[in-house]
Amino acid sequence: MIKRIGTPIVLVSLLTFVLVETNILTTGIIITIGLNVAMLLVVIQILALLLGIKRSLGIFNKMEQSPLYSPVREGFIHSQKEEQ
Amino acid sequence: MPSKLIIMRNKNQIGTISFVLTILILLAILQYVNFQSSPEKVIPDGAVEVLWVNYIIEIIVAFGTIGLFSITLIMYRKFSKSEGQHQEVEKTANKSSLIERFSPIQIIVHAVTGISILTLYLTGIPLLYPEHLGWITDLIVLSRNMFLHRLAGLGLLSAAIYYLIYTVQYVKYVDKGFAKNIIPTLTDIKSAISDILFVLGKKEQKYESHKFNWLEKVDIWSVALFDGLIMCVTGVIIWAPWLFSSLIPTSYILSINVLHGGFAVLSLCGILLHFYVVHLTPHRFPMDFSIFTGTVPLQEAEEEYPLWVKEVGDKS
Repeated sequence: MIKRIGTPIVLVSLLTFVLVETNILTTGIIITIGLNVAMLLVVIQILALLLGIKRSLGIFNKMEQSPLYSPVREGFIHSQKEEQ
Repeated sequence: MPSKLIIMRNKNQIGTISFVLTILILLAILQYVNFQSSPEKVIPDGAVEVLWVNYIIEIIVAFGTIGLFSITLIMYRKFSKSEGQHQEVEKTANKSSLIERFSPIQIIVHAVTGISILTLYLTGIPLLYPEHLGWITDLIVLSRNMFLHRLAGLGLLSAAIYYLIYTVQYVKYVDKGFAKNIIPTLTDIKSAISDILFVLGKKEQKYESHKFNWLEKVDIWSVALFDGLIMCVTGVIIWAPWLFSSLIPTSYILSINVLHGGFAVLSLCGILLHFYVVHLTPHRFPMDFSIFTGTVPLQEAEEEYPLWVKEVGDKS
């Protein structure tokens, strides 16, 4: 169920922009909620990016320590072990 | 010396040259803006807005938001219809077997661009809708808000300049075929039509994509053209309008302000669509890490980008 939460959130915020920019509805609680949901999504994206950057830095650090390190090779070794 | 090592050295050189050139260009822009600023050259108060230009911009933005909303609906229907197929792949996928999709440079540029653009939205969009989002500006404090906005703008500008210089050099010295992955082709238009027909139930899905599918190319080009070019150029003009008042009539500079705001909304809608397609679809929820790790599971790539996987296989 939680996996499907993204669809209504994104659709609501996009629909709000459609309503505002086409001048169909520019004021009211619906628009306020929609725009705030859009900004909430922006904040979530910033947090997601920071989380992703943390992972990237981990990989770059491993590459710095060992120039032969590669996530693809690590994955390959892991899959070989799984097969055994 | 093996040829691979020579290529690696070239890549490093290209990265360094691009970095140095980007810093020099940014310093030149900053120095020009600072030294040329004089209060008497600011736009006169009597400047009248060119209404017909504003109307055109508003129409483009209105149709743009409708278009992006429609694409989101199409993608939602597409993912709903092919959910069973994704679950099947998810069950059988060997997630340890990976393929490299993004280079470290692309990962860094994506991160800088992403943080910059999102900060720009957070500090800029509330200024367009003060009655609904004014609390964000109040929270950050307006003067700090504009400082953050300009700082993030410089981040976006530097990422755009860096990647442009890097790509030009990379195509010239390392791999001439590098650009062909992102150039829109007839196949992309066919893929987009095929997606729409699939959603309407008039065609079975048969997807043969190269490294980037049609929607990813739309993403790349919209960020490059809207954010990297239009928003950066209009942003610099709004930042220091007195510098451009001899080149552009003052009335049009006021319209550029409208253009900057309108296209910011379009850009945000585009990024929301990107966020939905890449992270929030049920089979990728809550997050897809491929742009941060640089790799994707081979099986997933074979399903989504079969022509690219085949090409990589042939090369290696």
